[in-house]
Amino acid sequence: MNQTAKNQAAATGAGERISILLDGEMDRSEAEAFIASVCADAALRRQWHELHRAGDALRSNEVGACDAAGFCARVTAAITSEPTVLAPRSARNPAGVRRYWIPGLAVAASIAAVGFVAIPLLRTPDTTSLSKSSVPMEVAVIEAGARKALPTIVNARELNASFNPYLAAHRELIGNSVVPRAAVYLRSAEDR
Amino acid sequence: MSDREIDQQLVERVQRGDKAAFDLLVVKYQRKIFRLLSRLIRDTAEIEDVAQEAFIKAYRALPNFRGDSAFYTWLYRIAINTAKNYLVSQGRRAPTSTPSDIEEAETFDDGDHLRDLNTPDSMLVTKQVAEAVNRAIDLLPEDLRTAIVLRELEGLSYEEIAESMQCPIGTVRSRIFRAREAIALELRPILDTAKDKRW
Repeated sequence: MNQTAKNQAAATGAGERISILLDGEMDRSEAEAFIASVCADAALRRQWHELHRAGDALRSNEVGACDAAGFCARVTAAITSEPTVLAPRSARNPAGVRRYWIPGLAVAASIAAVGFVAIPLLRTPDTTSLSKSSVPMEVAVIEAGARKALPTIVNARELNASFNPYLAAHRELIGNSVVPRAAVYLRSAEDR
Repeated sequence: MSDREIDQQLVERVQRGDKAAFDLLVVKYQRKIFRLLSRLIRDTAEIEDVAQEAFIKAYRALPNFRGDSAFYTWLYRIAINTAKNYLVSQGRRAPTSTPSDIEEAETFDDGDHLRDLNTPDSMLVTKQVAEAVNRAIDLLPEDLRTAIVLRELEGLSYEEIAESMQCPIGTVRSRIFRAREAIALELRPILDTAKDKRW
């Protein structure tokens, strides 16, 4: 294939792609790169014009009256003398990230913190099962892991026994307070 | 990629400083804007001037275009306002704006006829264009003619045309392009872009 034939084939390929683009049938990924090629190539821009005009002529014979010779040239000349427009790309603006994401993350963190603190307090406690089940567990841990520490705990129990009436009265009192669920965590030496 | 997405791509290129992308938008919409302006202005030369001013205004305002509406809807508003201002500056009464103006932008019929532009010149060109298109269509092989008619006049998608013509989509693409190319070739001597030096 000689160079002229190659050029013609390339032009046909590009022309067909413009035709596909005009019909909105080109894949997005391909279209973006191809639009850039058309913008950069005067021959492709001319093909863009002629293929548009062919479609318009099929739909309306008045294309001639609307395709004023030199109109685009005049607009282009006027645009050339205009300062180049440059718009900030809002979607890629890091200020946008700061404006929307950081407050969002702060709100999410606050909700998580409130949940972390409040949910255990709002759980309905089963004080009976809690106090009963905690005893063998603690004993088992102590027996398996630290037998030497056991006498100390027993001594502490004896010492704390004298406080039991006070703790019972205190538990009764805070049962009516603003944080009644906290009573679950108050135990006398006998509860252990 | 849809028509609106193509426009958005071109707009973003212009916003990044690519003036050639704006040329493509002008080519794409100049005829539609001419038809639109012919509803408000009778004289062809005045329509051209107002259309040119509208495109320049659009170019200047493009940094503020965020794509909330379609590019054409936005351009339509600019063209209508430019025409109204022009009429007022000429001491003529501008038509009253109605809410339907904006709605109309979305549905403005591309095939709508030019109003009151029956000058001898435009009538001659219109006649020549009609003859050239008919001649090109007559000379097309049957499969190309069917493909281009289904696409341009019936508005079918490539997939629908492929189904209708019982051929692969690749064949439909090729047929439509070859038909358009043949029509463009017939139109070239009449609407010679050689006068249009922008390329």
